[in-house]
Amino acid sequence: MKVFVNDTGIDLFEGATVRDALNKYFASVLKRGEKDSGSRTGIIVYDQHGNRVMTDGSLSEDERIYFDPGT
Amino acid sequence: MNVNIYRKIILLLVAGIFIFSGCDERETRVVIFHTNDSHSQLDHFPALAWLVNNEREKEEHVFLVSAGDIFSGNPMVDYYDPKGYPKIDLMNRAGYNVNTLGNHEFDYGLEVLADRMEQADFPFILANLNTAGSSLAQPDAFAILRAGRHRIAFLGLVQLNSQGIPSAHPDNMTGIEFFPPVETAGEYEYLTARADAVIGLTHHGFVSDTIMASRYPWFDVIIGGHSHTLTLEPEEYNGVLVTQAGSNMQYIGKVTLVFRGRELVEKSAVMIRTSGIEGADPEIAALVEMYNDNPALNRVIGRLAEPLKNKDELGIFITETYRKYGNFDFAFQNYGGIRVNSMKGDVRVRDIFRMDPFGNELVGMDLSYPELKRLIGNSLSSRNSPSVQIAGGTIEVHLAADRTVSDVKIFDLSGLELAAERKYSVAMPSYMASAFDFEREDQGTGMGIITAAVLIEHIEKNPDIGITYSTRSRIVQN
Repeated sequence: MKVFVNDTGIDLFEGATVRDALNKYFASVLKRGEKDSGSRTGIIVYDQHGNRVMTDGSLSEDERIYFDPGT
Repeated sequence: MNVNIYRKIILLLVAGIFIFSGCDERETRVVIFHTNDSHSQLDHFPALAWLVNNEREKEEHVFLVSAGDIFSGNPMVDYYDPKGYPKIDLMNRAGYNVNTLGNHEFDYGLEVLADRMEQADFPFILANLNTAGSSLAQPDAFAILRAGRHRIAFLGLVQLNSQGIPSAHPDNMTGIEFFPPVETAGEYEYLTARADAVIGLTHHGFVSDTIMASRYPWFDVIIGGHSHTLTLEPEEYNGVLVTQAGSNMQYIGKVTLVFRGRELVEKSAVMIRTSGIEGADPEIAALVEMYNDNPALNRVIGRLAEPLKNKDELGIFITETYRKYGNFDFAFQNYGGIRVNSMKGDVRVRDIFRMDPFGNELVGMDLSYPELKRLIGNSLSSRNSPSVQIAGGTIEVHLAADRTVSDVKIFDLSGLELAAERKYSVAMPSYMASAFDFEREDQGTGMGIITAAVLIEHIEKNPDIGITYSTRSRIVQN
């Protein structure tokens, strides 16, 4: 399934959680040689409505999540 | 008859006229506390019970409801004998009124689920299923709770994955037919005639809740689950208040409904941070302490004839187990996910969770040989050795003269190099499926079971544990 992290589309297995999406997002950032955004802990993730989502939350197709790369 | 009796009769008549003409202006407040995705969490029950009891002393109409996924996520509950018992016991004592069946309610299998539903003092509801072909009794689609003269309807709905079932192991739902949740909700508009407020008590994620709100404005409130969304400031969508309280009972939602006469005139929702609740129910706290000291975790489930001396050997045991679980061609385990360095003698449930504490799900996917090469290539350490263990074959990493990787080769159990044109079924933990960013066509599907549970299940069936050791990865200097 495709989900979007900070508007970057990533492909994930069905049943993936927010944590899996972040793992994939960071792995692809590192792979592209972009500057890593630092600590993985304490990241606060939001959905497209501005609600917080817990990292163990389930994702669905085309869902969009956001986090502040500065956190 | 004197004048006073005439006056009383006139007053009663006037009151009756007001009541029957709908001009009754009496206000009724209804408070609904809600949790979702509590996932076998126990530690917050003392605070929750204190909060709800405190409110019940102040308010006449207080409910406590759950939007599903009460099980899976805490071995103290998931490996209690019988499974899930502590959770239902604490939910009974906290005074839950209703729970929607979430996808993880199916994790223990239908027989255990039926036992837990029997144990519960509250109903489990779900509208979008038909259990006629299974051993599970058909749950009610909705529950109507009475708040004095008011009736509040709660409609249960659960998410479905692309296979048309909730995200859990398919074997645990054999014979049950499921229907799309949002479409199913549309069949229940008649609840508006049977209740003074209709609440969706859903487990299909926040996005689906907003879609449901846009289609069916006759819902007054949707209390959701599954996406673990924390609506710190719940909002209305198309006039429907949509709220969800995160996960693991870190927050407790509170919805307040105000009726004037029969009409719902106000609805509001807030989130309460559980760690900020100032009291705790002492009886519940004592029970939680007892359940947390779960002897089931010390239960011996198997015995190692020979010790597993390092992560290489542990990895062989783990990957061979994954491979057998789904009859996969290959299975992989990243060494970083193995959190002990050795294991020997009696193996207890607790030992497996020490070795594999992350709650990763087992993911299955079909990969071609080039995709498998990319997976291994992506996993190489700075010394060019694979950081994963393999079952089902062996790996060769070929180095050029300058010690850069020139090729990766994978061989099957008979020593033949894999065929470029065919697909191989592969199992791996969800961490690898997400953090190992290798290009592939099939992203995979979660198997609906955590890897620790796969290992425990296997050991319980095969208590004499042993591995046939062989070197499964080697570096070839060309």
